[in-house]
Amino acid sequence: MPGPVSLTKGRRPPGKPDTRRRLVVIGNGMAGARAVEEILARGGAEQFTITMFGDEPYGNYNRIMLSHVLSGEESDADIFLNSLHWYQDNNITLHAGVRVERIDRFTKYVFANNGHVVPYDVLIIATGSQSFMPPMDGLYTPSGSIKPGVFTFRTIDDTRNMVEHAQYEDHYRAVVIGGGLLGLEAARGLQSHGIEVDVVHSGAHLMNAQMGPDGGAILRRSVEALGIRVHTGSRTTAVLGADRVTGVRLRDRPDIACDMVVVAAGIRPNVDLAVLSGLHVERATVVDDQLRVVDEDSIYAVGECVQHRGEVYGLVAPLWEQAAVLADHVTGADTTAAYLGSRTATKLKVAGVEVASMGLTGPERETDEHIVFSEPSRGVFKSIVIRDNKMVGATLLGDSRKVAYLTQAFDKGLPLPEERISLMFDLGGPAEEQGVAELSDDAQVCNCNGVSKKSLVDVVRGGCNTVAGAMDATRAGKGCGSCKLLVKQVVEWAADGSVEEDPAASYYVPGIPLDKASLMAAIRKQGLRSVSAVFAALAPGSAEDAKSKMGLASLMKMMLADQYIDERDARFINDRVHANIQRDGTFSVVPQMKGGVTSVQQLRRIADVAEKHNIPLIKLTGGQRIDLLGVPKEDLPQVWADLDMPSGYAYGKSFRTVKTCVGKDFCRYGTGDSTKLGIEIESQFQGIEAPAKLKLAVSGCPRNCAESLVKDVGVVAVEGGRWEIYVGGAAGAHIRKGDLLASVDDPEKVKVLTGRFMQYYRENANWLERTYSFVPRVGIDHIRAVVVDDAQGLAAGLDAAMQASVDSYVDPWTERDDPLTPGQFRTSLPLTVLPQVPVR
Amino acid sequence: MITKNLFLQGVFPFEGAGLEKPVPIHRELAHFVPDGIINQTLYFRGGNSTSELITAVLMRDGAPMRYFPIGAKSDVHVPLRVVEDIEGGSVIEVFLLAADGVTGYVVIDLGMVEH
Repeated sequence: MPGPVSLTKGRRPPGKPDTRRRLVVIGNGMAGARAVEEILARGGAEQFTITMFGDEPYGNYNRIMLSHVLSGEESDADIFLNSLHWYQDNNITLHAGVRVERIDRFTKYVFANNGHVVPYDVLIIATGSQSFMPPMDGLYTPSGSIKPGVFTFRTIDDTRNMVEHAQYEDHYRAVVIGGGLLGLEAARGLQSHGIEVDVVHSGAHLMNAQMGPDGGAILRRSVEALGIRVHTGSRTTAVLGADRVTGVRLRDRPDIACDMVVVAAGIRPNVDLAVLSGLHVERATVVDDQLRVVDEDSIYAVGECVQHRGEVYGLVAPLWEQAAVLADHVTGADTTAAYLGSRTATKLKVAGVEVASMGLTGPERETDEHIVFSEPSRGVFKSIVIRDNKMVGATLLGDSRKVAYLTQAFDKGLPLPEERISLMFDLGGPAEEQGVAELSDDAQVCNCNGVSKKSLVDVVRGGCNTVAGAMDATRAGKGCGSCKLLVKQVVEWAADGSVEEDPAASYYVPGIPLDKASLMAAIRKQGLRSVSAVFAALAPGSAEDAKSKMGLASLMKMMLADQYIDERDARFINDRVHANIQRDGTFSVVPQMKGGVTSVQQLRRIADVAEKHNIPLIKLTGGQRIDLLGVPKEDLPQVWADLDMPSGYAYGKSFRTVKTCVGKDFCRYGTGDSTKLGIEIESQFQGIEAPAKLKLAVSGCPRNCAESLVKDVGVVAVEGGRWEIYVGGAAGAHIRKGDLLASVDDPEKVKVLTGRFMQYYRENANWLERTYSFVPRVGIDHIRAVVVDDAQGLAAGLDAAMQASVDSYVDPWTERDDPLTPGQFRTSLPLTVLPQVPVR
Repeated sequence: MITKNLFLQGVFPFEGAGLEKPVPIHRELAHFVPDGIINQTLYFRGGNSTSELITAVLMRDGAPMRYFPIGAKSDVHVPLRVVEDIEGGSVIEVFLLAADGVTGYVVIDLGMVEH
């Protein structure tokens, strides 16, 4: 073990007096170091010279992870929060392995056991807790030290010693005293070293502080299933063995033989220093709402050694809150900050079993509602106590997916849903509902733009309390969009229920305050035929909104077909030039290749065009087409002219491709002519606008070579001449297997249902809502009723509207000969950064 | 750590049985600490309606643990600054010492926490 270490660095050169105040921190655990971090974050380095004393000869580590170190899941190097370098880099003088023995609060000095006497202007006590040793015989050797083979489970040294002891070859049995969180963790950890473990618990059931008897019984089953023997309601009266542990004696049961004993019977605040120094100590050092020790102006205390409003906390969450308030006061950053106590909820994985607990474990009054779900065979137990429609307690065992929501409801006293069962289960809700609270701060929420949970939380703390606002500020959810739900949950969680309803959330396009149905009704009623007319008639102040144009253009084209008055500026660049803009500002051109089928002539011509125009990259796309990439904007008309083929719709929010497999003519397995059907579908619906892109596929047999199950509409030929139609699949940013819409026996019916489904989607989906969101939102049963069974009598109308759109189709590539606007194909390159005016 | 507050309290008539012999005041002023629970006593508050000194005695398993003298027609409030753990299985009671024959009322309020 390393001896005491003292690090000192960054002293000012002699001759320049240091006018900073002296901050001394006693305790280098999670609370002490966190308090210093918070102080540094508030500019504390300018105000203070900082000296820290730590009893343990290490930097600061995460005590919560010790059970992982014990079980071997993490090495002890992994759990350090601040390395010794952190102290050097922040000019903190660290005395590691040095214990402070006394505080002279009148002369303002601390006295350490290595002879150091350090003066302070501000003192922070963060001495934490130690393991509680319940009274029993034989714990100590005659010389007064703890008997070899008896361990507590509190520090990194405890853990290392336990691992070392457990790995002796002749050691194979351990008794853990205490069946709480820590005891069960210790038991599970020891098991991973091949040790047989008994847990002796004096309470009537395991974890009696956190849960009621029913939950405890189920936890016991789960723990026993792991091979850990449990003895509840039995107190250990003695540790047996003369010079080393040979067993334990129980009050009213036979002795248990063992080679080691782990005492995990709770923790007690370390208050010896405070008592000795004359501070106000009750159960722990008493502090006020500013974390200041009672009657002391320059002494603060934080963490587990603190008693605030009668409460002593043994969890980290209150500690973080305390550290922030303390730092606000010590640095003067916010002298009105106050710590008002924490409502604690524990959520842990105990011995491999998920456990979450908060508040009451059972009903106390006659009017209390108690909702219990118990499934012992699966080790699942859920109990919620409700008083006056507020949640006052919850226990979740084996399944803590709803814990994020419940914690919030408990903390904030949120009103609860009428249907109480939804407190316990996600009824048809998305699986991502789980666990926002337990995401770590640096967890990446939006993978496209690299937005962490913390940056979202910071934005919310900074006063932004709408989901859309937080998304704008961080760019979260602005990439592929697959994280939007999670972003929403994080924002709601961070705003602690005070998230404001964003009225624009229900608008079809942001610039016009109407949802889709009302917007369509208004357009029809007022006979509007162009995007600018819609803005003039419906937008507040008739203001045109660039972000709304594309959605409106698509919607109106869908609604009005050939009645629509096309306005070029209502389109996105892709739609304006009918090519796909790339990151360097060039475009890609995709010749149409229906169903992925091409010909010698087409291939030859594509090759010629690629050669003539020096196309830098020719790529086969995922949709079975050839992509000519890197075409400058001004060359687009010429490329098209040379190709003289229709566009393949690689751009725009519209129907794109129908991927097909080889089909029955060539494939040994094919049962249906998938290629033919795919080509027919693609020909029929080419260029159809939709709220988002539509990608289809037709497979000739259930082997699904065209991946039909993960398409917006996927068709699979099955034995017996039948075709199955799946809708709402996805295999991009989202993965979803499509839902079976119908099974039909005629390719013509496939086309009718495909068109009808697409029209229903076009009329009812939100702007940019892919079918994989739309189908689960509306429900496949409802879609089937409307599209297949025509339960609402809409089918004829849907078919007619789709036919009108099909009939009004014009090949947009013909614009190459007659640009609609003078600048349509004028270069906007180079897209280089222009010289900037120097910032002064 | 999930804690629960407990109180032994009330206003009780009494008759003194001698200054050496602590006697029970009322059966309500007793508490059995359940197994697996740690109890800590946090404060004592008392009032005395008589014209004599009386003393409330906090008993643990039949042995005196703390004495709280209350002056004649007076009151005390004692926040306990030395707080020890009382193990599950123990009995906590409040007894009284008062001179023989003294009768009156005593106000008792003992605050505890269990976890």
